[in-house]
Amino acid sequence: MSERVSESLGRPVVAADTAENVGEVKAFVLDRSGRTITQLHVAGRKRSAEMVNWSDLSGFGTDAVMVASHDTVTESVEERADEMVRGHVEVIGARVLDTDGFEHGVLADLEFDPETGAVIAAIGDGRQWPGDAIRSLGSYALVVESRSAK
Amino acid sequence: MTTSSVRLLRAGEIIGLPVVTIDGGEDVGEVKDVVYDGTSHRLIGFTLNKRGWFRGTLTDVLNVAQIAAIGGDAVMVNSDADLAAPVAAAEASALEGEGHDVIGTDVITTDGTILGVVSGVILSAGERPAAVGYELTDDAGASVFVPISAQLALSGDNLVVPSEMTPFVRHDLAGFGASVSEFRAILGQGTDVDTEGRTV
Repeated sequence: MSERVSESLGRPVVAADTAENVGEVKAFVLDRSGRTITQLHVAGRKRSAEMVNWSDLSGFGTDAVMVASHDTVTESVEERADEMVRGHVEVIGARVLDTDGFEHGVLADLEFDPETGAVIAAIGDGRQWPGDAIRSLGSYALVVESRSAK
Repeated sequence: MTTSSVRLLRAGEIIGLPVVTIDGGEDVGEVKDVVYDGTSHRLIGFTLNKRGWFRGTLTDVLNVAQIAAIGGDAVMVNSDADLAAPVAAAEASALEGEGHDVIGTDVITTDGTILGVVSGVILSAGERPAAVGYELTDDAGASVFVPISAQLALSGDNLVVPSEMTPFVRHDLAGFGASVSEFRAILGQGTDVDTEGRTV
């Protein structure tokens, strides 16, 4: 099973206990390694952004993302999440740069494991890199191992 | 020995490239200038500028030993801890000041032939960047490439090249890549240079 970031954006986020929509998938927060999704941005903007920790998801379904209750939604936005919510660090559209210092266009999509949040592949224009070849995701680039493209 | 291909590039082409961390994907600076010791024909490193709107000179210097790779689009470092402290920067500047400025120096062979005037330094790119040659401009305004060797003698007036090196002189950077490989092989230094000698 795998999912893509581009196809998951806009998917409703539903609280299982009340059946309420608590938001929708607005953005993905990845750690600095660029290999793991840590949070979802589900509602609000900038300072009032509302986040859900990946570990609090009860299921990342094809039609909806489930959380146990509304209580799992937090307004505490840490520095890394803030960078990504504000678009200082982008996922789709990120410049792809290899460890030898050569650019390879921009990131078109990320494929991830909906169970674990682990990144399976970074998808560029006509080529892709396996998740374990990703070295970092920062404000300048997604850095990948040189000669690791498939 | 594995033959990892190394590309050649003009030192001047590195100026303005971003310096990017492999562990963070952040641009921590951009190359302001190349610090080169003309006396020992050695690349010391780069001075850096800040990036973005509030640009200015960083006191940090990037020493060549801390560079993970030089590519066509960026200079890569493992982490921002690889930017040297200001003390090291001062030492690097002092080194730069002590050496004779090699740019603009006449290049003459030991048999008395003037090859041209030094117009630039050629570096090998990739994981172990180093100075490998000089670009000269001859009387006719054409480019001439001469490999760097320990036998080069530099004064404030001239750079003297052993006449035995004449066979390795090239007129194009592409051909020079192969020439440097050949020259190094004879010296037993074993540095492999991309035979296409691509400028990156």
